[in-house]
Amino acid sequence: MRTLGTLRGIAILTVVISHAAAFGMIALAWWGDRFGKFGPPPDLSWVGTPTYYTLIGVTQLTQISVPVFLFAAGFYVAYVTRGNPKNLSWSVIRGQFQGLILPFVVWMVISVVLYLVPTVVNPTSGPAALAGLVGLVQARWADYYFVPALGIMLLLSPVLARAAFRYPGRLLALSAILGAMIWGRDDLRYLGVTSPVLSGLLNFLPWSFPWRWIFFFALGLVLARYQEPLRPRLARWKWPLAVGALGLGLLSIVEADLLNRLNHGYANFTPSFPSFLYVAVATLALASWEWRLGRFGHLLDRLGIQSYGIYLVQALVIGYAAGIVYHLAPSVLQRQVLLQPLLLVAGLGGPMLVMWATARSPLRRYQRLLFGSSSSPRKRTSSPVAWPGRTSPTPSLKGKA
Amino acid sequence: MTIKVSSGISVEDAIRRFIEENLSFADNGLPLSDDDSFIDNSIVDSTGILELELFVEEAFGIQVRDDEVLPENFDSISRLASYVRRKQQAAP
Repeated sequence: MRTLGTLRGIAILTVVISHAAAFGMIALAWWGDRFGKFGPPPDLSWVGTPTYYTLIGVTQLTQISVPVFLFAAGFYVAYVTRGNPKNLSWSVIRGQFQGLILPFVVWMVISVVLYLVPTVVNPTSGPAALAGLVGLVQARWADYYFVPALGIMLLLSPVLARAAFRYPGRLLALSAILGAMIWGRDDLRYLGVTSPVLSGLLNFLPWSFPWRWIFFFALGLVLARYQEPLRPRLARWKWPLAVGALGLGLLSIVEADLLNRLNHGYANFTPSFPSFLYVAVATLALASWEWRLGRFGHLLDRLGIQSYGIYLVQALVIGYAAGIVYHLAPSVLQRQVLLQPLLLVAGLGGPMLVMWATARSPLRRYQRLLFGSSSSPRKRTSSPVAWPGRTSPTPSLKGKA
Repeated sequence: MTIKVSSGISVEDAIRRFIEENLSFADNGLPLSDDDSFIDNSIVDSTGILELELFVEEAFGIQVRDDEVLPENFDSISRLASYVRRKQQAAP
């Protein structure tokens, strides 16, 4: 499980890095009037610069975040089964589902309300913004799309766990094919592959939920159930997997750049077949390594434990941080070397500060409702006296595969 | 952060207090007996189990192996306390 903590820490870090990079691109393309570029937006003069390649590379490589979260969730659901999928009773699933969905609903409401309150950061909102409420809710939903995806996986988990335990190979193969088709459907279009049957099938499948993600959840279930035989095999393949993930990641960057140029800068960096291969191999690679990262590993573990709370709050904080920079320090918008660390610190530090403050306020009793079951800065358990017969305990800082 | 527990309380009480303060946020004590399942009572989720693992390592000075994080060891206060005692006795 410690490995999962480290993986969750990596996943939440990539979520924040990805959102910071997205705001970096928005700033360069659309907010040029604030830092002296007076051409009509979108300004694409930065395409092809080192900044462009860095941002596009970060955007592509951080696509592992949601798959890694789903992998970890599948792994945990296998734990919950206690070896038998019949133990996934409705009451157990309901408890896990509520713990996931209620904080999501709360933060959806908070973010919509905050958006409607006019501030210096958000001057165009206010009552007038009510007209765009539907679009607004859709935008907030897009910020938190991982949560409904995981919620659906949880609801499907009794069926998926049975399949993973009985027919692991078939489940992985089917879900991988499904995922690859959905992630890669734009690739087929670009390659001129058209088929009425294929188009009909792909149009029938909802774009995102839940089929796009099912492979990663299934992978977690299978790897958890068959840890004993699979873990040594995975460990033997750790180097090929790491090199493969790197290569496929580079391929997905090249593809994104190509699509961006073909679309004159308007490519939406949509999921693609190479990026599906990249995230699948990268998820396996991350699971195959023993993580011995010392203090940084401990930090990742803590981030992993607080990952759900951070996830729920970070999009809001990064948005406000970018807005503050836009209004108060616009020259920073074009200096990504300053903007990116600033947004990264805001995206990690802001949510942790909110959780810390909540845990020390009368709102503490709502901590689970706001951030899930365990996303709180830990309190000391009691007085600082060592356990009898033990020396002062030293925490293990090593993640174990 | 190093977590330490006071010398006057049992392993069960230390675990219970930790859960009250960090996982359940219960104001009036944890409505859970020592044998009640954390899973069945929605006390932990995928991050809660990690929190528990880190807690027992830091508070009791033991090393938890990944393959020991099983419901048999982690799914109730009494199971976790037994696991901690076994690990402490096995420690050199």
